[in-house]
Amino acid sequence: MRFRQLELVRYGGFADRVFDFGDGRPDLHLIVGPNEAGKSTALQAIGDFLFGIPDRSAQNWRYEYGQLRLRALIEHEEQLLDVTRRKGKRDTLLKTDGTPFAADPLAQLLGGIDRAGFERMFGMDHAKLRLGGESILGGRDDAARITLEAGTGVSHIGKELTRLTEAASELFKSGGQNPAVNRLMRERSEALAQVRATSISDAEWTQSRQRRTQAEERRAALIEEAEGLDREQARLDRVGRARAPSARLASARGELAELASLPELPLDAATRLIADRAEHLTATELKVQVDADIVRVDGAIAAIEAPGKIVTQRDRIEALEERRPVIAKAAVDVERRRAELERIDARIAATRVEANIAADAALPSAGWRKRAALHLDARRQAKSRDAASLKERARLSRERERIAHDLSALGESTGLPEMIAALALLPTDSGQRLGVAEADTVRKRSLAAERLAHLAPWRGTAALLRDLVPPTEAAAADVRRAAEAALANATAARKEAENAESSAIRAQAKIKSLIAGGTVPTAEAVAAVRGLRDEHVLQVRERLVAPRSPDDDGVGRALSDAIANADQLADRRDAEAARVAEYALMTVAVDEANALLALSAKREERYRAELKQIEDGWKTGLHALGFEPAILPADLGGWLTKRSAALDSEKESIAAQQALETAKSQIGDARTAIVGAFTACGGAAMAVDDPALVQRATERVAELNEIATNRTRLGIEAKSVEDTLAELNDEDKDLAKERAELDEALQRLVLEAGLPQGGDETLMADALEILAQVHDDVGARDSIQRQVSGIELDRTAFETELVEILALVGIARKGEAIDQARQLAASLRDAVRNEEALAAHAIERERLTNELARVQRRLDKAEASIEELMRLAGAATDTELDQMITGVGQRVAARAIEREALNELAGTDNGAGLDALALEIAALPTEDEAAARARIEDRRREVAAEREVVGRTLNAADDEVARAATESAAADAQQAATDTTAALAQAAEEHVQAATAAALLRWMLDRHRATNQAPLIARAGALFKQVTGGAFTGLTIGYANEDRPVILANRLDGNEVGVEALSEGTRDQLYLALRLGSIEGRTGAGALPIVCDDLLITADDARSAALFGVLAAAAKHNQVIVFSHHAHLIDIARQAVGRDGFVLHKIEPASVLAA
Amino acid sequence: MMPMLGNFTFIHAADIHLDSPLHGLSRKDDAFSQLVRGATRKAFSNVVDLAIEEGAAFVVIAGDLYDGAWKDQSTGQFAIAQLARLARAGIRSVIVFGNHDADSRVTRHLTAPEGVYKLKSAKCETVLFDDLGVAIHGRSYKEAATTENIASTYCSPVAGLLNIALLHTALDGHEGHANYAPCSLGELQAAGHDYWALGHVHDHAIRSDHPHVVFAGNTQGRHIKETGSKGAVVVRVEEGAISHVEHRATDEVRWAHARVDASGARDPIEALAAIQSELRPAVLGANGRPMAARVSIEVDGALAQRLKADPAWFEAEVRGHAAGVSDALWIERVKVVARDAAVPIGLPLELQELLAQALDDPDCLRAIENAVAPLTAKLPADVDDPDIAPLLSSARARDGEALVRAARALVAARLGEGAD
Repeated sequence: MRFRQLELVRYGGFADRVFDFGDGRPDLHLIVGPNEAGKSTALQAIGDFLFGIPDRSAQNWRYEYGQLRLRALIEHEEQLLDVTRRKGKRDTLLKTDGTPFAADPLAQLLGGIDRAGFERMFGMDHAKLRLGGESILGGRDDAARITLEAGTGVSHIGKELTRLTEAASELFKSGGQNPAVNRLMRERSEALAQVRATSISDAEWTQSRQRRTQAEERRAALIEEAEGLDREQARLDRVGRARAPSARLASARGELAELASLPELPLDAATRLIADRAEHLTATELKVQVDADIVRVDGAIAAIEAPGKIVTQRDRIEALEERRPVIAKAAVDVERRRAELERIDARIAATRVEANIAADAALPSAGWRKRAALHLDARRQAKSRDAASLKERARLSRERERIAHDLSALGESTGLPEMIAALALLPTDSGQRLGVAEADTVRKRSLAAERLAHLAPWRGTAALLRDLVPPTEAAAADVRRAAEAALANATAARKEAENAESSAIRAQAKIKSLIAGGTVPTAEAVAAVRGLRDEHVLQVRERLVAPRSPDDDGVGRALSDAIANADQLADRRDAEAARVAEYALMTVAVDEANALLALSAKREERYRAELKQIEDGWKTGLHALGFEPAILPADLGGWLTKRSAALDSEKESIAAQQALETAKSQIGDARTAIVGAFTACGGAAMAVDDPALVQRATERVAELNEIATNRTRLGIEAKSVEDTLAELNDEDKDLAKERAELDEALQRLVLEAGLPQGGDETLMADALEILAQVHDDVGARDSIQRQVSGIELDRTAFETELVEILALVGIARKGEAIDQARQLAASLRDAVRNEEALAAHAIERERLTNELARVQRRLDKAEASIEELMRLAGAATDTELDQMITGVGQRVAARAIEREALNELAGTDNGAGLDALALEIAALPTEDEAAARARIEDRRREVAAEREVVGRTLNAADDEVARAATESAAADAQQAATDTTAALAQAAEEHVQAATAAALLRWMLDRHRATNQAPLIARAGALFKQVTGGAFTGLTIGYANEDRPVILANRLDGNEVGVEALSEGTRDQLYLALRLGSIEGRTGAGALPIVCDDLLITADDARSAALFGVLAAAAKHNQVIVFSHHAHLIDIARQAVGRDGFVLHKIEPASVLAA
Repeated sequence: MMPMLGNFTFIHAADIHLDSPLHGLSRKDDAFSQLVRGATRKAFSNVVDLAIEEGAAFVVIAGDLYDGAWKDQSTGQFAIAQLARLARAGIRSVIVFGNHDADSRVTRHLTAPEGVYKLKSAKCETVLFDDLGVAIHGRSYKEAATTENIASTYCSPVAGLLNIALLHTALDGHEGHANYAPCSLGELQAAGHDYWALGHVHDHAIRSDHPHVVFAGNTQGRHIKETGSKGAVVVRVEEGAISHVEHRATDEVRWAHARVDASGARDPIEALAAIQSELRPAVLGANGRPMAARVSIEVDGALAQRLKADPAWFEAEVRGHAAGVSDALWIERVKVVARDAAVPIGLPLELQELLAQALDDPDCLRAIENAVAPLTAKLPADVDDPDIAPLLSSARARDGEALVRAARALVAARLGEGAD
């Protein structure tokens, strides 16, 4: 297939942009345009048209997605297909009437290839060429790989084969150790072994249980034996325990029998008697002691004096005694303070005299002293400011003289503003601007002329062009459509005529063949032969009435023949009805065809005339406008665009010229103004066109500027001096006023202090200094005076209290109050002590009285108890009582021993009675018992040791059970084995996938080698020769080491070299040759246009020319479209393939077209 | 004396498959393997915990307590320890054995604690719990392959009691499960028992209400075909009648199969986002359990080709994104399903034609079979999981066509890849 036309109806920045690829003679197309001209857009439009506009196409910046349209006229096997592509999900291919195609009309042409495949196979650019060259080097050891990669444009087939092969090997190697599958097989075996090792088998479990059962049985036997030993041990213990108490029991019972005659006395009779006797003795001794104590206490009470009234005033006397030391000390202090007061008064009086303060005046207060000090400070500050003012006045006077001197030394700056204004009129870069404007004017004028020339075949001036009223695009489109319609109609009429003519010829031929088969028995033929027959009949009739003639036989035979022919023809009518009908139809067809032919010829003639009229009208109109020759209506749009550009350029040219003139005029005026201003400000006279004018004027401005600046500065300084002087004057006035106020204040202070009237600041300062010296005394005097008064009050109160207390206790007041108070307090302390001693003795006597009564009761009770025991024992004397109590005591002890022995023996007879026990004891001598105990102990140790062993066995068995119930080592190992198996399966799966894919790829290469390699190498070899300009004569397949088939390039000198010996550029050419050779081998469906995008970007001219030659050869079987932004390729292409060897398409920038 | 029909709860569990390994973990993540180790044991322990928490009166186990031939005694000891836990809590257990732990394989080894009733295989046996008013009937398998209808040999219900029948059966057939002890639902409904506690089918299902015919499902999913919640059934009985049947999860590890339709996705980012969206609810449904998930993603166009060309890369990407969903989520496998796999993208016509010819060329078939022959000769015969390794299975079965098709798809994707 090939594009006859590709129209960017609404696409990217284009509207109605048509690429006309013509009839394919030649079919190599070079589309040249600068960057941004829309070359890439056109390139993309080819793919978008063939395979659909992508969802996220970037071509919607001018038209929305819904409006995007591409249209193409496609040629395929002499069919012409008009298809419009819109953007959308479905039904994106439209017929000329805008309705969608029922079935995709391009699918069959594309042969199942998708866009990516198309771009790989039929798309070529510099990067692909370079990548292809590299892949040739990479596959130098494998000719099939090179040819398949280059032939398909898929440059990574070899790499994929390597990757898959390596991946398969990394996963598994027969006999390998490290690949994943090999390693996992080993790990799986180990995991399964681990399962076996950790599983507790049935046999192991049974043995374990048997061991436990035996151990349990042995443990039971040992326990039983141990229990027997325990029982024997218990018997020996029992007999041993019973041996001593049994002997004690027999002894006690003998003693009791001897003491049976004694009376029954209380069990504690002996202890009671002892206690009673001791109690009686103790009580008697106590009674004597208490009586003596009572006598002693009574004597002490009698010796103490009774306290008097003084204790009734105990609180007041104690308070007075507490104040006494204070009063005593105050008596001393008051005198000391009075002496201090006198000293202070003397110092103040002396100060008053020294400070000249009137005797009757109050001593100045602290407030006065503070105000006086502030006043004196204010006077000092006023004096200081006076001095500073005088100094500043002197400095300002000197500054005024300096400024006046500097001003007189400076010149004048007259005319400076005018100079500056004049210079401002002339830009500093006026010369450069003028140059730029002149260059711009020239360039725009040249451009305008160039664009005017571009309007050929129209000829005329810019003025004519401005006034020109060309046809509108709509009108041109109308003309084009009308002409196309007329042409189409004429062509249709021509075809119709040709068809009619063909029909007529075919019908006539048929008629001839019908006639050739004998006279057709048509009605006309039958009528004709019958007419002939009738003529013969008529002749015969005429001859019948006429005499016999010698030619009658002939007439008769003629009649007979005529009748026979007529009959025969008439008879054949039915039999040859179909032939007759066909003859009739053919006859009609011939007539109709001839009629149609005539009509078609007339129509064609009419349409041709119409077309001529349209074209003539168009040409005439354009001739009138200056077109010689006229352009086609289809080209008017482009011409109008060029016209707009030309008019715009003309306008810009005129504007540039005007701007230049204006600039020149402005510069002249400015220079004149500068000369005037320069002269006015004292400069020498200069010509307007003096080249140094501006420089000198600028220098003069600088001078004047400096003068003006200095004058301004001095003026500012002078004003500053005057302002400062005025401020000093104001300050002096303020100072004078302040001094008067200070004098008045001084007099007020003098008066207030009682100083002599008219006293000056010295007098006040002296007084202030003197008063400061007695300042502390004045403050201390008040304090001392208050202390003296307080002491006197306290002494008076003390005296009053003392007098009152003495009166109450009946003591006369005498002597110093302090001393008498001290005596009174001592008397009080004595009285209090006596009172307390009497109270203590009273309590002691009461206690002793009570103690005496209690001792008497104890004595009575002991005597009664002794008498009771004697009565019970029937004893008459203490000795007799003592003997009876001793016998009763012995009997009680024997009974106790009997009870204790019986208690100890309880249970030791095993229920057999004490007699049997006694016999058992007697039967077991102590020596035999010891031997038996030793035997038991030995055996018990042996049993314990054996039980420990059995216990350990049982514990181990129990641990085994517990472990089995909680541990899961075997299950965990099984899980690990399962995991490993899964990993192994997965790795094996990945190996299978990689290994089979690698095998398939190898098979593909082999297959390609077997079927396509040889013809491809042959085709590519021819192209390679061409593309290398004959440096190589072709390609062959050779065999390298290990019989590997490799591609060899045949040099002109007959040598063969491998691809690794080719230069980078030559390898690129080889790749191109292989690609084009592969494409050449594909015809019919899937033979698509080859699209090259800047393919020749790095090729030099010679190589580019060679490549053009190859592309021109390829263009004989596939349409070839070459996009480039290098205009110089046009000449190279012309040199390489001739002007007629390719079609040039130039495209302008999209913005221009869009405008 | 008529027993008192009271209120109580019992647990119906089945198909515990103690110590059965989880399949498909593939050792790709040791941390996850450690996390899920011993899952079947933990699941059974969870059943015991559930019974204790619910204060169940008894637990019935409807077959396949063990997974198979009892090779490791610790499995049985673990079971006994768990049954002893029930016994200590006063919970009785009634067990029938199924095809995985049939009489001939297991029962002779098991000395059950007190309160555990193992029903025999010779004939139907009935255990009466008079205190509850319950009769439990059942019959263990004698042989693993028990293909006769043993339900028809079951004891008649005891009048006046709640009758529970334990049966290990495929019922009327179930995909993925051998058709052992076949019987019909109608047959069970007509038998007169109140509750048929069934085992063997690993999906929980209530096939009938009143009488109840219930599959407990297994207690722990063991591979990717056993997805969703697995556990036991808590059955409430009030006044002698079944009042409530509730399935409770006991599984330690959850399996999920995320089927993602990413048709129309243009790049892997969109596909990965779709996968994350599908995985998130599954992870939430697992309530914090570790989850093993398979991702089957359906893609088309250029993306399908890209993912097919380098599946290992995409699987790594999916694993990375899964980690972003949950740190307890593990991707078992990623399957890329290309919707339009027959149409490779970016392949020039010559390559298309070569690929098309491959299937018909005996040399090609032979080359591909030879390529995998060394592996199949070395690989242990039991490494043959069609789910994990379908091509390996094809290679073992000498199915050259399947191998060629797979190789063709990979080659087409690899060669087409990069055609932008």
